[in-house]
Amino acid sequence: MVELRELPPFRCTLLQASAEVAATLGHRLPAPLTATDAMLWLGPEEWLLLEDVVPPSGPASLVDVSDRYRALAVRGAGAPALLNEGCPLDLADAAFPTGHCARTVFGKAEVILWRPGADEWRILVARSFAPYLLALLHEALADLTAT
Amino acid sequence: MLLIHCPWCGDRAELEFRHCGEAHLVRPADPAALDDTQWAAYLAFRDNPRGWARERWRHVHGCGRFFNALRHTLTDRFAATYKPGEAWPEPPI
Repeated sequence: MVELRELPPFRCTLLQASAEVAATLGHRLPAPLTATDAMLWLGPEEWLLLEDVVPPSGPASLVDVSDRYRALAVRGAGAPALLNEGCPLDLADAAFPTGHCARTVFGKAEVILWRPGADEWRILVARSFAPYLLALLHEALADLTAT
Repeated sequence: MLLIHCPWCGDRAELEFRHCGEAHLVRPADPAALDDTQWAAYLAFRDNPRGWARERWRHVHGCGRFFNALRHTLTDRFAATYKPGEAWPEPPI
């Protein structure tokens, strides 16, 4: 069974800085391809911060992108099957274990996919793509649950 | 679908990537000293090999980084991908 719902707006900040400068924020930096509750690794020297931040000490780019993303939650053991309707990533436990995150595509939309729990998934998508993504996901959900 | 190995993210689907032309082009240090043919050669003229090609690729829907790849233009086989600045690998025979 898969549950799909939209999450309320949230604060997030895009940080681009060297690892030394990023470490001055006080959070533990997530390893590449993973996320912590406070930070998502998006690429080399690029993170998405989910908590309020103080400016780091050192050269850095810190941009409030709270209005850019809408968040969806997908819950349930069947979540990988639903997500693979539009996302080409290997979402098996061995390839995408709990705690992993990745910027990837779903259909024609660029999304950030995050797996905070074994059966918990988050999708962050640009606001303008949210209706498109929701329509795709609901259609895929209907296909999967059709008898 | 073709899997391409991003040096930072590992194997990812082809549609996350964008091809960005020939790799290892070096901008002339003093463009004003070149004649038109030499400048045009830098700006516009590219190899079009039938076989192994060194190319720039960008993981545009992933980590966003540019990297270089050694790809066979007939078979689409990627022999290697490597970070910018790293020495290019020799093509397999």
